Amino acid sequence: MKKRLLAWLLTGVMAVSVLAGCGNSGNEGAASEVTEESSEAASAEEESGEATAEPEAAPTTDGEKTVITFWNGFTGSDKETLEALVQEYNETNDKNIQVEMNIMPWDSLYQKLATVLPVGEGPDILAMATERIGTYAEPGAFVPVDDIYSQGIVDESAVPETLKENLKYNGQYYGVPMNFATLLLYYNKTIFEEAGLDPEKAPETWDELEQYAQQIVDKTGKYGFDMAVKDTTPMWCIMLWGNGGDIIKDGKAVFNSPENVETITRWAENIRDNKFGPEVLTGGEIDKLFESQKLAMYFCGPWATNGFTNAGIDYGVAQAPMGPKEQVTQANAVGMYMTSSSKNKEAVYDFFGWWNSKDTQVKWSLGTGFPPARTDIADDERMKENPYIAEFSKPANASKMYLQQLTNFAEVDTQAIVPAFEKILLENADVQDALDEANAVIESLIQ
Amino acid sequence: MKAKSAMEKKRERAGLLFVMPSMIIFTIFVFIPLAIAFVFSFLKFDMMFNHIEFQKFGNYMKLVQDGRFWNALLNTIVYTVFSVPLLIGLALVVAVMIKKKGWFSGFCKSVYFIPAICSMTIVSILWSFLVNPDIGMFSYWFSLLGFEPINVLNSPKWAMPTVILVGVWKNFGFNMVILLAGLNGIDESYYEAADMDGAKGWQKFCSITVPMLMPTLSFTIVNAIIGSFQVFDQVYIMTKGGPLFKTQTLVQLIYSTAFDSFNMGYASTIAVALFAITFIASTFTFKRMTKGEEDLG
Amino acid sequence: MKAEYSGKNIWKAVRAIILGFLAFIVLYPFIWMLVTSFKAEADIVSYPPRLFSGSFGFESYIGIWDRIPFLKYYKNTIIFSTSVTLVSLLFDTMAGYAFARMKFPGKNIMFLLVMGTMMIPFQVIMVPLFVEVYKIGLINTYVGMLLPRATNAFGIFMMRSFFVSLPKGLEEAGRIDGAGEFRIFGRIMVPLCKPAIVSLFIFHFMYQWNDLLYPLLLTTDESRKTLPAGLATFMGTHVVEYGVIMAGACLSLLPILIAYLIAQKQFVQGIAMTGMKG
Repeated sequence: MKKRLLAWLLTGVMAVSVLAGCGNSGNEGAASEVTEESSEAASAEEESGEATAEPEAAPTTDGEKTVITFWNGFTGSDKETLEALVQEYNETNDKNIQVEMNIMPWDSLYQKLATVLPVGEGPDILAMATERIGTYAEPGAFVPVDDIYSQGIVDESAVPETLKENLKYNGQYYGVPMNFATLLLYYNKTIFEEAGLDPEKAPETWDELEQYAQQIVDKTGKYGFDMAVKDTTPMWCIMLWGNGGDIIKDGKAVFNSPENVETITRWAENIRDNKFGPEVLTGGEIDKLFESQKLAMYFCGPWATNGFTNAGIDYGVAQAPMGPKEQVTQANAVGMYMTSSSKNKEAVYDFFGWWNSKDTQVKWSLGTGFPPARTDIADDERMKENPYIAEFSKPANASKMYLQQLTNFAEVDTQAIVPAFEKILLENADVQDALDEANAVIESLIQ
Repeated sequence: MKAKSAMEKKRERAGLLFVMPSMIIFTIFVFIPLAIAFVFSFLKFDMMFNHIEFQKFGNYMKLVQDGRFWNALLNTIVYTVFSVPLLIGLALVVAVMIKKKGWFSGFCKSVYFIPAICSMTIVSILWSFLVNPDIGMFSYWFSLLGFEPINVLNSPKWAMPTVILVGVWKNFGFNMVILLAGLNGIDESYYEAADMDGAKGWQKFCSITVPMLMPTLSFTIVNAIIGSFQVFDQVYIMTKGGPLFKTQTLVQLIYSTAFDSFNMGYASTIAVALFAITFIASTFTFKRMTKGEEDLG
Repeated sequence: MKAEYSGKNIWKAVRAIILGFLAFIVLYPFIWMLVTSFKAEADIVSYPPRLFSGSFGFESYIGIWDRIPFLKYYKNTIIFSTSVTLVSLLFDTMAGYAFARMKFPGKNIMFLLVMGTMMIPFQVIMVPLFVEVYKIGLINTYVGMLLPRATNAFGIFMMRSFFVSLPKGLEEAGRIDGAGEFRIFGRIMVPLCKPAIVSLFIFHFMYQWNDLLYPLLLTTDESRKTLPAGLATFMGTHVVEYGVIMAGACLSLLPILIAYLIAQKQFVQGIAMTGMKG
């Protein structure tokens, strides 16, 4: 009986301690708000007066490991290469730094961040796509890292021009490159031959692209050319840019511009009415469509090469066809960021620097098929192992990135742009009306 | 009122002690977080819990005017209205069919329950693949039957029915087992008496089976209503709420408000609304059904 | 008489066809899953789709073994699921018993509150819950993962239904012998509800076993990761490998499938005894 009583007591005490803990949490919340503000002031100071003295002394004492945590969403086949590289870093770095990595799907990562960041339990390093920087930098979840460039730990001049601006938010650098990719036109040579086209000659202009796709549809009954709309790396924007259009320009929504109406009308008719391909695919669906040899041409990034080669598909990659105004393609990048939870700035910087070294970038590039996030190693002898990488590296400085610098990228994409394409492609909506409506939504979201 | 005896008091104390662990755990890990979420529903703050602004009823006013909320509510209601009768109806019919003992019944019973032990994530991935018009087996069979293969998950018309059917596929076995248990509890003598009166199969079903099964039925129905108001996993994996928000449900709206937009305050406001709606719907159903039960009793 | 006889036969045939068709619809995706897990990636997406085509091998399973610390995740999942299930069974049974057969102040309101917890989507309380568990200092511990799940409204409801259905006056015998309430519960009641406990065990176990979000959320440490979270890492952002995913799905389904098949008889019987009445 006494034992039981003890058990009840324990439970009771626990309950009380929890209640106390909760009261505490309120106080601490307020406190953290104050410190947050002061740290903001401090960082502002740091910026104006040359980043010099590190507030944190070197945490490494002899024999003691500095452990830094690194969370990201590099699931799937990239995971192995990343794990091997991190292991190599752990074994070879001379500062006794240990990087502990936690890889989970991106969705799970974002959910976890919502819980760990406010209480300061986040990882030291986060990796995510650059279009999300604003979402995290604005409330102070990421810490500016201008000094990593000014100290030369990461070579600013080697960062691709397109990427450089988008690692910044409000004029400050918040991240360093993790990977960088551009989209090219993948085309299936077998289907080209079936349709009587030259398998070594990819379309170079919009007109050729249309003509080839039509010929493939007519002669083989397969799909000629398609672009995915949702849950995908953006593809339609390549067309918009090629005709001189854009989505947001100088802080204003320009999605319903005459150029865009023209572009979207033309390609929506091709896909929907001329049956170039199924309407409104996801990224995964369009990949599988190409992999099952039902689709002849589409835009995709370097990550797909290994899978298609293994699946025994005879394919080629070519630069995106030239639009009426411009030859351009979409580039996307994942950056690495230091979170406000981190207390190991020096170790984090060391890892950032190592990751962006020539040697690591070559290995990462060869392991994953991504072009390197440095512009100065495309000629490296080792890079010839993978012939595709050179092709994907070409547009590094002649590409654009999609919806950067926003604090609510995800909302703009899912609430305005995707629905507009769905309306046009699935419900035959008037292009001008659909774009006007979407433009108003974007305008209200980016105010 | 007579005074409680010492014995009764002791028993009351014992009763409290028995429910104590559960109640303490619920208090700490459900009610307190829920209370915090309720407070959140009047606030606006950023991802780092800074810049806290008291909104008074601002979030609720926004909710009433928010087209996305009404759309998600409508979708959730559509999902509930179609999936609950389908789910329980199928479960009941199948339960009646396999009530009789035999190897075939036993086999079916085991098989039908398998989807229930599988995670919704796996089920959703499986079905997304199987109904894919370009590589999926099921849509291929449909095309052999002469139907034009359509991408059901991308069709504003077919996405919701597909999501509903996948939910029914996953859950009918679970409900069937519970209903089967209820059926076995009905005394055979009722049926024997009805046979003497020359009652037909469906007459027996309506006048004996359904009324006698009412308590179990009401449980499965209320449970299914609660579950369908919280539908999330299969929608999130199979359609992400699309196309054109035709399958966006309330929980998914809460999810995207909280974790895409990091607007925890407004997400909590939607959650409070969802809780109120679920509470009203399930209590109403339960009251209606148990009232019927008393009438019969 | 004859018409009735043939009518019965038709009914039998219809019943067999319906049940058989349903069994096919239910089983087919699982068969597909199993077969696919042995296929090479290129054969999976071929068109027209065929169940048996191409070559078969263990590549996907070997891939899983090589790419994630499978045994560690399995171990974590077993520890998490089993401990939560056992503790929850104890508390659910106690609470269910009290709600069914004892009188105490606030009983009805408490029961209503318990039932109310079923109506709260996890996403709603997840952020406050994490902050709370963090403040108590239980993040990354098994106890921290266990406690919030240590009782469950469905379990309480089910056990209550079971205890309600037991004959009245069972306690009286014990009381006459002078046994206390705890003794009556432990010696008389619990032995009677074995089948119900088996059913609830399976319900709880499969629920915890399959849960991805909750264990992932309450741990920040890679070494505490559970199987669903580990398998989720095979869903690549760009490249989806169906073979590996299906192999992972088969491996995670296997233990609960075996558990269910073994305990099936008791399971159904247990539910039958509770009657699941409102």
